[in-house]
Amino acid sequence: MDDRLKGLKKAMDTHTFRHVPFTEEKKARMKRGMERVEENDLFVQGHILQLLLAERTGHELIQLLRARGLKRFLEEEGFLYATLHQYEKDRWIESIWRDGVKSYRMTSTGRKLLEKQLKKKERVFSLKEILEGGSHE
Amino acid sequence: MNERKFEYLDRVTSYIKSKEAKRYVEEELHYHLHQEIARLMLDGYSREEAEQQAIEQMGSPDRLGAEMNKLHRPRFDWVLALMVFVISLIGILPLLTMSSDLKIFAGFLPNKILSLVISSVIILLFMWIPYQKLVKFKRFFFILSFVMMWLILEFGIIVNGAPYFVIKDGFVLSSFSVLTILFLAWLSYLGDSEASLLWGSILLVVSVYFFMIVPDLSATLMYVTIVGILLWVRFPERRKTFVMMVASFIVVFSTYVFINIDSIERYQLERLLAFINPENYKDNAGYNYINNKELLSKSGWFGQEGGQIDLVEFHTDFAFVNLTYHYGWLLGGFTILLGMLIAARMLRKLSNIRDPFGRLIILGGVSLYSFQFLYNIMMVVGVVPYIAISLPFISYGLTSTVQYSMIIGLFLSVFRRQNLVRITEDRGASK
Repeated sequence: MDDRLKGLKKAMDTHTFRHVPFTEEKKARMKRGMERVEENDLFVQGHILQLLLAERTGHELIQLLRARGLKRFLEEEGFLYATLHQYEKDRWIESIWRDGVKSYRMTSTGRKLLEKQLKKKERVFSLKEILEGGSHE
Repeated sequence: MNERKFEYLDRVTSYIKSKEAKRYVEEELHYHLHQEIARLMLDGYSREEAEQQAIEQMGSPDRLGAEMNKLHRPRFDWVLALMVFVISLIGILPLLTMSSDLKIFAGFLPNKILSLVISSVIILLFMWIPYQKLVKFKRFFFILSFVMMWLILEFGIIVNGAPYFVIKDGFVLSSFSVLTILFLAWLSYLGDSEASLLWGSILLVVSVYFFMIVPDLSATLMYVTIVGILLWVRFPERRKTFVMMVASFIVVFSTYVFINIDSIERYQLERLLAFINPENYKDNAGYNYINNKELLSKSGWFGQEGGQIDLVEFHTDFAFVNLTYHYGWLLGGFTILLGMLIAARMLRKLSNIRDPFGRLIILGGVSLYSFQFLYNIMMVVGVVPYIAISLPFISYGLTSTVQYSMIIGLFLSVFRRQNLVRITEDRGASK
């Protein structure tokens, strides 16, 4: 870096940014945020809906999503429930209480949505194959 | 030791305004924490560590609480409310065509305005009360209806052939009022999971006897039809039994009529014949059919001038003829359309409702309302015989106002709580 820029950086570190330290914790959080950007809403939705082809509780879903490597709900498990409640409002899934335990399962509307999404995914994949001339996982 | 867990839960639910949603969210998140703590303890964490870890994993309670609150707001059907508002206003119009003496001094117009205020109060009241609470009052409603029946039969004064029990000036109990209370009673009874078809049928036979001895033919017909529909919806597994019971009842009833055909009152027979061929009964029973037809055909698109016309029941049973004659078929047709749209909309929203009791309430209410609305319209155009049924919203009358307001209010109550209702299933049972 240019000397003058180095000087500017030093000055800002001493004055402007003194009270906003870039701690390790913040670094880790930002890194997580950047990783999550790759997991867009549609992506997460597809996984959740697919898993709900069977009846499951929220807690079971968290474990399964974690096992699939989804980072969206790490350290934010409560928000899976917000998502589930939103899907329930959209009538993609429905909830059942059994013995005081709430579980979720797909509705026919949700099933149709999932089928549509899977079809789209297939098309994208085959196009990719043609362009890149190889097979993808 | 468990304080942190409850602290977290309380913090999240503090953002949720709806009482029912608060409870369900708390229960669900509590279960999650319970499971997660157990899982972490299996992994070797101590109880305190597991609790702390599980809570941290949940994320910000404030953000979650705010989002839950946004998701679980009570719902209101603005479109329906608007339609009810408009048609209620149209209901004032027939009274404006009266001569000023009747309008103001006999109190018709002020009373109608008052009944609209009462209507709003009743709608809001029923909307606010959680409809599930109805079940607790099933005994009360049935007892109340029997008390009313007794009052009417023992102390009622006969007006135009029908008994009324006068509570105060202008406030009377009629068999129609009993019908309204019985409607509530049936909803409350059938909302209970313990309801039985057998006892229900016995109750139906006993109570319909009242309407038959008044005698109130229209109420009898409505009562049997509506309760029949309610029983049909409520006991889907017993439909074959139900059909057999109805069939045997029809057989018994027809035999009774056939045996007693000689003693059927002359005027009753006359009324039926007058419907079939009004011309032959021009001066008595057939007059209304002919008169209504004539007035309706003269109405045109925008109505006729002419103040008071020769029309009986122009503010009650034949209010539609009055409305159409003075304001035209454009408005008349619009009123029919609006009345039917209200029923259609309530039926359409049924698909949003998962709670069986809520569905029963809406189906029962729509049936009771549509029966009256449709029958009255068909009656004034001459398609079906005359029985004393008034047109909801348009006809004048407090008992009718109370009934349809109750139906609208109950619908809004069910609609409001559609996302807040707990659907339970027994272990092992699934679709």
